[in-house]
Amino acid sequence: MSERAGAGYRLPGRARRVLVSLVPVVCPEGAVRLGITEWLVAHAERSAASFPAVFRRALGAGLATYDLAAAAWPPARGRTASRLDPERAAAWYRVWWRSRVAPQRELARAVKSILSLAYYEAPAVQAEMGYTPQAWIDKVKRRRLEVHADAIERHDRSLIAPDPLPSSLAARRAAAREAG
Amino acid sequence: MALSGAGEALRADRVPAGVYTREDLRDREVLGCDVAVVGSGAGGAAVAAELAEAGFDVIVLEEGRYFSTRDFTAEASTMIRQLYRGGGATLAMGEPAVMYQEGSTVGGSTVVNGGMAWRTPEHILERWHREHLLADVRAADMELYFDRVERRLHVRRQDPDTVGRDNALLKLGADRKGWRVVDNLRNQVHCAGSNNCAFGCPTGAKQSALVSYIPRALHFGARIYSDLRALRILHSGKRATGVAARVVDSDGRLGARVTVRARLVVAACGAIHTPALLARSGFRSPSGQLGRNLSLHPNCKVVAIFDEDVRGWEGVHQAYQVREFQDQGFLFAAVNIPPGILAMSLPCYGDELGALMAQYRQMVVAGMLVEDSVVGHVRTLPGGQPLPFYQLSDVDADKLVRGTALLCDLLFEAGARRILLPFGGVGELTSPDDVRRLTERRIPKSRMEVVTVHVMGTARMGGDRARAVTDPHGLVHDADRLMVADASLFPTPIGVNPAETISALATRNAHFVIENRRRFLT
Repeated sequence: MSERAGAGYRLPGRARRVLVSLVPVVCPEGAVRLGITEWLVAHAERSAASFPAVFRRALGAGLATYDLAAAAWPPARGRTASRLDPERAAAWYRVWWRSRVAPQRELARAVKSILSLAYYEAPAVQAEMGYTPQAWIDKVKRRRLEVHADAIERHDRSLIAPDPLPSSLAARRAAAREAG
Repeated sequence: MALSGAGEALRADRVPAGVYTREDLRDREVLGCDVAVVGSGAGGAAVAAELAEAGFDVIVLEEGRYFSTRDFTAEASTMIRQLYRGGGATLAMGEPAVMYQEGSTVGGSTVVNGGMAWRTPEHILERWHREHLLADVRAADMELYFDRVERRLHVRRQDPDTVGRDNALLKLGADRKGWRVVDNLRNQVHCAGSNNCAFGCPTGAKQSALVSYIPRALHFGARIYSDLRALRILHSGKRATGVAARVVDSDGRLGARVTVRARLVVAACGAIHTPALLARSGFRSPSGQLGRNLSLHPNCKVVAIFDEDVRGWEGVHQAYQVREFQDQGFLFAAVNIPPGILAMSLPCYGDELGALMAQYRQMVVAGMLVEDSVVGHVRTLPGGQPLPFYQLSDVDADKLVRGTALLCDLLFEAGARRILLPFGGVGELTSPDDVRRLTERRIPKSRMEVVTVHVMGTARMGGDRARAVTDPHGLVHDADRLMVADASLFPTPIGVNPAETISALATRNAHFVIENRRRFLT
């Protein structure tokens, strides 16, 4: 169950097409404006690759079902989800997001999770938000080494210094001494 | 933009002497040692270091990959994929399903935990002594081990200048309410406050097993084999004789077969995988308790939006704990979450999500830990993989709602303008009056978003073999030379962060082996 897929994992073609079509629906407008749809889908595939195999298979099957089931939805007029115009694509996703059928709702949430994770991991999006954690890390890391070098070195030395566990008898005597 | 993938190429020259990876192992290789330890986290690494120092020949098997401090960055999803089991997508089945997270890398969950280091509360140790017939686990008995772990991991309060605004606001709210709030004790050497604990400490300040017990174990001659999944414990009759393992290849498939022969086997792969390893190896506890008594410390989080710029990523993770309600079984803390991870859990999408996340810099994420009152179990599936089941009790569900309401009260007191809840369909709170209304509502469990990083208790220790899986020193009842040294041992949940308790019990178990060397080596 916990087996990962390799780094080169790709979603099945249909599932991938559905994800591409859902980027403008599920992600904020920046996804289209910044032209990062392909990056987001590749990121989502990387996430899926690290999931337990059962989740990965469920995601692929769920997306295929989502795609095909649209054809039976009257407003789609026989089109699959990945071929719907933007307005109907948004409406079809809303049907699943609000569905009383738990698996439909869960799939909509899973898709939203992996695409929104990807979106807010995109460097261009983070830059727009003013979210700059790596700069912060680099700054405080440097400062720590400047200010606390001696204490760090002392601790590093202690990590490899001999410090055997005492024999139980010696430990009991020491504890008894401490207790007075 | 390129996706990060450079880590793998850079990683190879950072593997220290004594650590072996999949590239070093041949098919059908047979290794020999005195002690084989399965798992390299808070328990496994502590046992390995103590036994190696005492002169035992130790091999540690770790399913995850080896990464060093230099590999850890703020790219949260890359880190999750590399460091967490199942990419963080692991669930305990129930209503609601509880998402749990475990590290899967050399150093185990200590690489991705918050670095909190608290001793087991004395009343819990007393209860273990009284109800589970555990001699020598009371506070005075455990002093030696807690003290030793704290020395090794440099357990200290945080340097005040590293506390960020999110934690300051949590403390402000608690102070205004007159609630008890304590500085968190953390295993850290002058933690810089990079707030990246959950994705690997990029400064090396957090004393995870990766940078403390593992280097110590290596120094005293232990060998660490990463990328090696333990399939089953080998045994001759009731005596454990080694571990059958397979290399985890880069594509995630199982490759070369490796056998580790040992005089003592220590299972330390966490409370989900230890019972499964024992079960698929054919060890059946006469108590019938193997895999049972799973506790999780269910967690909920709220997102409070302030008028001011909080920049929650700047400053230490969880500087404080609000302990006003500890006797009722819950704690509060501020737990900054990167935007991608936070966005996953928010109850909206599209431009509505964008509008909410535009306020990310003004957000304080605060969480609550509940000491659970029920237990679940881990079932071992026909393929040998574990599947946990956990049904949140009505009492604990009520605690989650009550605790959330109290936490919201605190955050409004600190100046929050809006608070998003972990309860689907309940909407957001905009004033303390809304908090009162929250407690009057009945919230179905299915709508609660519950997570955990504390998994405990599926091979509990005890003095009565009819009720416990192991004896008081972690030796599996009805087996020989087979020990458990992780959170599976806990007879009950402990109500605080478990890492120090795990390491202290593992040290105690190692001490027993050292003092009975002949029994295990002949």
